[in-house]
Amino acid sequence: MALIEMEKATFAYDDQPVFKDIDLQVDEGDIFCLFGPNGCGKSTLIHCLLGIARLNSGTVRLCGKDINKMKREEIARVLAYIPQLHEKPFPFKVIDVVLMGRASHKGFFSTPKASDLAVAEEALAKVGLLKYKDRPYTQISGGETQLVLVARALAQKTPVLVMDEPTSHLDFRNELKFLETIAQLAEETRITVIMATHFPNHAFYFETGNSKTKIALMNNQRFTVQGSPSEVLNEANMLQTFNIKSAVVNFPWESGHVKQIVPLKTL
Amino acid sequence: MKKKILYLFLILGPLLVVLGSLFIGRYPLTFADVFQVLGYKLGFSNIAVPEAVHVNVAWDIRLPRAILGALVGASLAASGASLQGLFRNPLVNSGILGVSSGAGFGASLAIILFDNRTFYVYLFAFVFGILAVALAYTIGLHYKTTPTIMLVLGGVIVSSIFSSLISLLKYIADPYEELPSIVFWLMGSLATARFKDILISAIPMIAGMAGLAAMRWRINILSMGDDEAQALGVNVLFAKGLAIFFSTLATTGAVCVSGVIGWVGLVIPHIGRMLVGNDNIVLIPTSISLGACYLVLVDNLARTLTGAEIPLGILTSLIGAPFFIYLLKRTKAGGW
Amino acid sequence: MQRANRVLALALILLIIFLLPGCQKGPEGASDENGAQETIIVEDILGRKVEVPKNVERIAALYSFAGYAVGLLGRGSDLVAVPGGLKRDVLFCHFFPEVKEASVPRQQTINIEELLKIKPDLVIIRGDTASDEKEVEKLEKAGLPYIVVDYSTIEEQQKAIEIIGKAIGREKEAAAYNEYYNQIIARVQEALQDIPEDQRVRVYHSENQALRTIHHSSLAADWSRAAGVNNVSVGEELTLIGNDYYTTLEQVLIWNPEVIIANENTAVDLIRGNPQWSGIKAVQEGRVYQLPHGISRWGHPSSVETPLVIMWTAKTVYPEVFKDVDMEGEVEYFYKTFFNYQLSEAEIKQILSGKGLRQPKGEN
Repeated sequence: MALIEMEKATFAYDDQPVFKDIDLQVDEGDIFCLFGPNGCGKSTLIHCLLGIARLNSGTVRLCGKDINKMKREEIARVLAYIPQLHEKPFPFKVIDVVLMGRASHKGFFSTPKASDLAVAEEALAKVGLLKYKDRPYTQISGGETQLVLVARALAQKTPVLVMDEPTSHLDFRNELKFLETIAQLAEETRITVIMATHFPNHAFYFETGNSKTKIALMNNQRFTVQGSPSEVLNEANMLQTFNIKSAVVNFPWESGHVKQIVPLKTL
Repeated sequence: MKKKILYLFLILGPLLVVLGSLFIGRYPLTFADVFQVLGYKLGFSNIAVPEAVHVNVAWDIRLPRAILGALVGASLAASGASLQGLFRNPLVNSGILGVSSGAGFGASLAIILFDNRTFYVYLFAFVFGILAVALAYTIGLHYKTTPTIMLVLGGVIVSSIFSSLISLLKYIADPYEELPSIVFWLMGSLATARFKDILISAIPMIAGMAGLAAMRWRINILSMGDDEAQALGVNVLFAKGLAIFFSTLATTGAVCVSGVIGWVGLVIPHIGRMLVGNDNIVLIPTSISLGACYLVLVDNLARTLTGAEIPLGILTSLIGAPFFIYLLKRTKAGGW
Repeated sequence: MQRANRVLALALILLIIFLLPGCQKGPEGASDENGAQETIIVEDILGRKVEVPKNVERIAALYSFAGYAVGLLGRGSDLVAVPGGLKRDVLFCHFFPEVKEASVPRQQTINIEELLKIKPDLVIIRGDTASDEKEVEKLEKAGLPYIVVDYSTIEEQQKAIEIIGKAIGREKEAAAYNEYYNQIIARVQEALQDIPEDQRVRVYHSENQALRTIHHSSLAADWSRAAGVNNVSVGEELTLIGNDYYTTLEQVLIWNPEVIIANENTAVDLIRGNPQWSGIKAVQEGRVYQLPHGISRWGHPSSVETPLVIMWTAKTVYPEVFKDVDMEGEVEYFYKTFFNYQLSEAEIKQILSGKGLRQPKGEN
């Protein structure tokens, strides 16, 4: 049984179709990248997966269960979400933000207990930010904020992390740091990752360390191709999707090879 | 351990302030007089029967007024803090969804229809306060969730409708009998507090505060925004609705006995944020305690600063507004 | 377009010029052809000399006092405009059923169109309206003759009666009322002359609400002095909210009045029944009284029953001194003399009880 399944998923805002008849399957331990041009509906698809938005037709199943029949906290025990951009309304302490990840495990009128605090601290340690535990999270950098949100997702103790372009506001170093953290987590904990991105090289990055990396190319309201990054990310597909000329380069680094796709020219 | 000490302060503070205000007032009572009344009323048998007037002043006038002040201040502050979290905006106050203008309209209507009979004034203020929020909420109910901006808009619309209706009532009110009562009510006061009033209004106030305190961690999560809160496992529609319900209960319970007392719901949570931070788990109990202390203290000022009495609503605004300017400056300078 | 507007405006102005004098003349019937209507000059409290038709037919009283005064002077049936509150005064409406049908052209401000529609030939307003430029301008533009009356002492109230009397052709009646008024004051003063100022009974006077009370610059301060009582709130610091003065419970306890009078039975019930008031001497000794209510609330700022309230208060506070005064008889005499109405015994009792003569809202 697949961990996450989408079948004939169709979504439209009023009369504006966003995507149609999408089939998707993510198994345990997969790193699933959702790749496509701006506005192709990646975020909406992620929202439908999370049950924040509702499909017009088709089904989403989490661990074999129809998402429409699941309560919010049940969904939150399967999927943890890391948003693209997080607005900080209040200068909560870093640890308080991470603790929020425990909500789906607690009753409505409860407050976090010592055991929850331990889980949160462990999660924070995993992303290497335990030292910032008592700092207002308004006073940490954008990269650190994304990692705090990862820690919050980890505190949620779910089998799956769902990310929506999590690095789009990060600088070079922080982007890499974020990818490293996710890759390491995936390796250590066998956590499943679903990530929307518009950087194809993220998929290559994960593929280098994890053979279960998959990518789906989304365009014109559909998945045009699915497969491993090496299969999907080629010049022909880039041409078709983005109307650009590009080249896949392969160069040796440390003990292996690194693959990258380089955009060359718009057509 | 640190938390326990904090909670001890939070409980002791209002108790001490309420007790302290028994000693303050126009009527000359000595410490001994007040203690004698207290001892007698609390049933210590070895205390001589105090003078009736002393019992009157300390027990029948000052005590209910202080208790009511504490409850009202606590309620306004608790609902202010909660709504700030809910609306993800620290500049929100307890009246954002139109409670005050709704209750003001209800009270004015009762003053005109029922010759200012207290029971009806409370009832109408309460019902219309709730009605105003329900209306604002309905306007804000959009798609499957309640986007903040729509709620705020709903509140603005409802407030302005009820404000106009209050003006209309003021216009048609009898200028010698009803108009003064309406003006008096809108000014906000604890002057007529009796134990009876406390009994009536404490139920919604305490219920509202208890509800907010119980779901205070959820308010943290709701302040992360609708999408994230849902992804964290919170049924946003239900949780928001419940938080609004509890805060409305608390605010309306307060407003219907005390009239419109401004600024408490804005200023107190901010002092709380400075003292204990933004985590609602601590902030909401702190706001409750600070709100109780603050309103009783300001009311003590209101009744002692001059020979006559300064209306409480005026004083809270006088103190609150400059403080607000200070807050804005701080926010601009990098926030807290 | 512009020209059309101008023509229209001109037409309107002409219409008004022709219609207004016509209206004023209207009810008089065929008075005279040459348009010279007989008028008299009335000087109001501001010293304005106002030209008023000699035979005023349609009177607009925009304040309660003016309405009561017109009634007192025997012309209540000619009231075409009254303040809304007057319609709730059961006895007044019983004396002058026309009041029920009269228009209410003023709420917080004057609705000049409504006022023009009812074509009054005399409008009576109060000082605060007269000091509002916009309100005055409305009346001036409409060309309605208006007089201003206002008062905050007994002397000024009598003067106001005199002015109204002159304006509505009832000077004799006005003089008679003022004479009666002064007689009452003299009777009370004479009876109390042996009680020195500092031994006079301390009275707290609640107005409408338990804690709303009397400011030193009000008629009530003056009449309570005339009634020989020491009104505790006079000269003290009070809180002004809107146009009214409020005190506090603790302050009342400090004053510790021997007698409390109140004009509203909800206030009386509250004072008698609320434990917060129980420490006050007046409450303990059962000396909390409800002021009577005739055509209006006795002792209210707008009431013309001031002479009666002076006598009643004196007798209530000093029952021994005034044991020979027959209050029922005084009441009967007053309404018989000034309103030409013979009260039944039950009616007298009801007036003195202060209850039931003000119609509750929503029943009219």
